[in-house]
Amino acid sequence: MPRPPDRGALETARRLPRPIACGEAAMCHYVLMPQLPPDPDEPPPFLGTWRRVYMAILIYLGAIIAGFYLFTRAYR
Amino acid sequence: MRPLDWIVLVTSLVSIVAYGLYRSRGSDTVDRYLLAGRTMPWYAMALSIMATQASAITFISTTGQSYVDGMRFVQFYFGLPIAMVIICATAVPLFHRAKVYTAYEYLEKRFDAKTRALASLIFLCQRGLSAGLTIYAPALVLSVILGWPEHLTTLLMGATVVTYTVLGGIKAVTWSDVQQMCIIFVGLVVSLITVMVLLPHTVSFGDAVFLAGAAGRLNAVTTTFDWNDRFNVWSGLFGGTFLFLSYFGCDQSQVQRYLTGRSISQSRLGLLFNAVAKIPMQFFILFIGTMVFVFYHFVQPPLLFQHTELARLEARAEFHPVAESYQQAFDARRQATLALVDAHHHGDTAGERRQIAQYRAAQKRIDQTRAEAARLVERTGGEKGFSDTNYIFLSFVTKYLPAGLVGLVIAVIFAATMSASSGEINSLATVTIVDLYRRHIRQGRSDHHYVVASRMATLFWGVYAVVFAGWGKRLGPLIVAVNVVGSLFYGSLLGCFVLAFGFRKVRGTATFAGMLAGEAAIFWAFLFTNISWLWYNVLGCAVVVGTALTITYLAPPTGEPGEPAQSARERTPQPG
Repeated sequence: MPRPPDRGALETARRLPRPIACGEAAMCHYVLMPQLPPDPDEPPPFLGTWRRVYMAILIYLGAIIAGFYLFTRAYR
Repeated sequence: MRPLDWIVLVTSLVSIVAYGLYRSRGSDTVDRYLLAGRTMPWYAMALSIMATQASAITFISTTGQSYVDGMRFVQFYFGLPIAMVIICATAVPLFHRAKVYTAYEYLEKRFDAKTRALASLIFLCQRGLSAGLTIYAPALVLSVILGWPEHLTTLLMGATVVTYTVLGGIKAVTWSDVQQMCIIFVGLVVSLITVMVLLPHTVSFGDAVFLAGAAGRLNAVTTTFDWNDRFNVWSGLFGGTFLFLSYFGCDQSQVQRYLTGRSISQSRLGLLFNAVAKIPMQFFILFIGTMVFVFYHFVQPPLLFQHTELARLEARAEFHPVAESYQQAFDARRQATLALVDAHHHGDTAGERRQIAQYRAAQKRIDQTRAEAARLVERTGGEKGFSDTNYIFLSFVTKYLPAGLVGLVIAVIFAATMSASSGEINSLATVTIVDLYRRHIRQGRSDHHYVVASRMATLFWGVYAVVFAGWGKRLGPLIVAVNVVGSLFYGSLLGCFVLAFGFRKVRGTATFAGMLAGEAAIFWAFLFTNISWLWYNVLGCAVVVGTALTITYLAPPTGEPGEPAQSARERTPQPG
């Protein structure tokens, strides 16, 4: 039998601002899975926080597309 | 194949199986057999994810694709880093904390049993169909190139995969994937170096790139928007993001890879490695194809790379005018190429422009002649929609690579097939046992019972894939089949997970109805419109979310999320 949801956690989750796209802690509250045990997360091995790592990946994608665009133009 | 090639090929295959089995010792519980005891390091997961995604057809077909169409296929992968970031931020921590074996198990925690069952069945349909194609596609190409019977290549690959997947479970799959990716990387680098070495001494690397550009083959980015164009920057960014979100977030063959991680961080690193490495890798593979294209400016390529069809045509009278026209077109292109390289060396810009015009005219004639030969194949009873794209790279390899390297490249093709196929078979077995057998058929049995059942299910899906591969010939053009099959089902699965992660008020019944509506919409688009398959995922996902939200709005559920779903109507006390 699944454990009944923790009312306190639900209320806390409801008071939290709505998450925009990512942000894992907010996401878990948003999805409301109070029965999930807390699982301490480790920080990434570089850049300090996962948010910064994600930003770095998206910047990398932008750079790659820009690089390919210049490559295409250079040899067109 | 020369003796040295055989030695390289057999050594590679035997070492893959042996290494996988060696690393999989102790897979004697369900947790270890299906999830490697959640102990895998990030680099093993990263390479396994990459290997599972890269089937043999990726290497065979991608190089051929850039030979005939240039490098614009790379845009297909632009959505992958975005999808990886979203999955790392949302799905990975949720799946890890829920301690699930499958992505669909999570759906029961979030929604209900019927939604989980429907998602599992959609996955089994979709992945079961592609499992056969994954083996059949390279088996067909290898049989034509090497002259082996088709059933022999199918059986050889199928039996090898089934052996280590049944015996070793996910650990064997993951560690053999690591080794397979290493072989693939080495094979690719060696192939590019060999192509460059085979170019005439007067043609430098810079000249080769210049020639590929002059032929329009370095078109890595196309900014023009067209709904029916599969590969432009917009379809890659939007359609590709949805496709990869579906693939990495909802497809158990990928989800299972990162569920084996020893922590959330390890799983994230495994996925993010792919976000960084995948686009350059695809670019590299496409670049090899363009260099093969340049190589064939100086050595005459066959009119058709599918040599059995070419041999059949050569016996017919109507072939000879086409062959003669091809010979003239090749000679003209060779002259124009040499003149163009010469003008480029001397920095003669005006001369370059003149020569480029002549070169492009000659290239156009070659393309027209090849198209005429393809039409001749169809007219004389050959395959409808004939295309020899898949044969270009392997034809080059077997003809021009030195002894040993041919064996290595064939080993790459085998390795890619086995890695993609083993991941599929393993995930199919996992969903069959965890989501259907253990949930609905035999509950509460011993761990040993489920391990044996998992092995049997793996064997079943392995045999199924091999048997289904035998029917592959009737499924039409391979690439189309592989891509369309995936896109027919991914959209609704993605919509289901979007609802699970992002819409707290939506419950199981609304999601279930949404998934059915999403599937109906995708099949409508497939059967009655010309929309490119990349957009099916967007369409399916939108219909699932839209339908579920509409139902939720019209019949709002009561009670707290996380409780069993119950609509207001269901809660109303019934008379009597």
